[in-house]
Amino acid sequence: MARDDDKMLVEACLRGDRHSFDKLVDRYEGPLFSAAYRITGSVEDAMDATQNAFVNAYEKLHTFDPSYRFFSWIYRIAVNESLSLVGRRKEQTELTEDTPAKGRGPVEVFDSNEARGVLKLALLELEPHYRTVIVLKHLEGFSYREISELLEIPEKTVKSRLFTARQRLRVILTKRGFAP
Amino acid sequence: MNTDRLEALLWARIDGTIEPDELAELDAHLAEQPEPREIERQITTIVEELDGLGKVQPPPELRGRIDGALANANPPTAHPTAASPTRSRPAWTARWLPLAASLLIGVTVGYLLHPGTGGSIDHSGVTGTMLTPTDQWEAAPVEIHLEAGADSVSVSRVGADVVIDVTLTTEIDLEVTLAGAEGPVHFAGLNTTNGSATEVTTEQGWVSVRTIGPGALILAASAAETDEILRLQVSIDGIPIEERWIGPTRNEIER
Repeated sequence: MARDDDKMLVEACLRGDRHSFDKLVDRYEGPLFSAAYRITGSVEDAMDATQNAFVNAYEKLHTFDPSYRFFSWIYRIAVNESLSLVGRRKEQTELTEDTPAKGRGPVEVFDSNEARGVLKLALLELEPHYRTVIVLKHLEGFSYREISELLEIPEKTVKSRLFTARQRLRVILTKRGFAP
Repeated sequence: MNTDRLEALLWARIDGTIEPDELAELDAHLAEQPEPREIERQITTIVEELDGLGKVQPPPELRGRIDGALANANPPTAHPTAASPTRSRPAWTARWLPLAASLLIGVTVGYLLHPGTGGSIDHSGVTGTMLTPTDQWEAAPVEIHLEAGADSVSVSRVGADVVIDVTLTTEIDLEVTLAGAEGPVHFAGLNTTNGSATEVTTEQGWVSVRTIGPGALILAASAAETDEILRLQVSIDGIPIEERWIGPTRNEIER
């Protein structure tokens, strides 16, 4: 339903109805920001990645292949924007659990669950391409196939990368005393 | 059962992809040994906590920023071009095959005459991340020497026609992916020698070749445009080690 509806909105936008794209922003701003935040670990970077994704998608909307899902297309753009921002960030060590709250107000309710806080830090310790597959699989709920399409890598690579990411995450968490 | 195998089975059980015989193997192992139970508890806790992280909501000001940026953005082209991998190209095959064949011969002869002496390599370019193309692209041909011995990946190009030549002398799990910067790359053929290719994917504008050496692999492809900048990504054991943006040859740039 959403897929067909997305296509109609894209077509309307290409015919000059700019407000049709606003509806796509309404629909996907949240999911794109959430993924970008988990990948970048920074509210500011996640906002930049989300904004850039929508602008790039809008300007290149005529290149969108309607035989594919619009959400997959723009989500891939957002993931690439996020990874690009992570790569450009000079001081990776600035990533801390406090970063999201800097001057932006809480975007999520930080509970007092210590284990969850340790987990968030451990995720940020992972290399970006490992963090990304963990985010896409466990937080966003994508299948191997969907991750393969989003990251434009073979499904086998997704599996091997996810296996390594999970191993490294467990090692980091064990060192931090997270494990029961 | 070693730890890698144990973890693989535990995660497969969580993913729901474990086979019945694997499940029996896992259950038996967990019943016999106390230490695997610890790893099982760790993994279960990780999954539970990951599930608990949930979604984050964007700050309210984000929408205003997006709207502002869109107001200043260039509107899309009025008529969709539906960048489909099946987009037709008149007389494509007839135009491409002779070029590809000559390139294949040229690359092979080049290796025979000048083994290990590829073009100069600029490693100061883009590496490691999926950047959008900038002015950091390199003119073709581009050769990437891998860490192991004489192993290399080279990319030759004549206009839109591209040849990727992979030479492996050692047993490594190598993956090469080529994609268009803003649109699909059209792939029409694959030519392998020594049968070292184990996996080839061609769909939706990108091609990925995974090979476990030793051997040689030659892949022919075609960009959408003669001046399109292509993204080449090389991974070993699933980890990206090189990412380069490759443009036309210097002669074609100067033309």
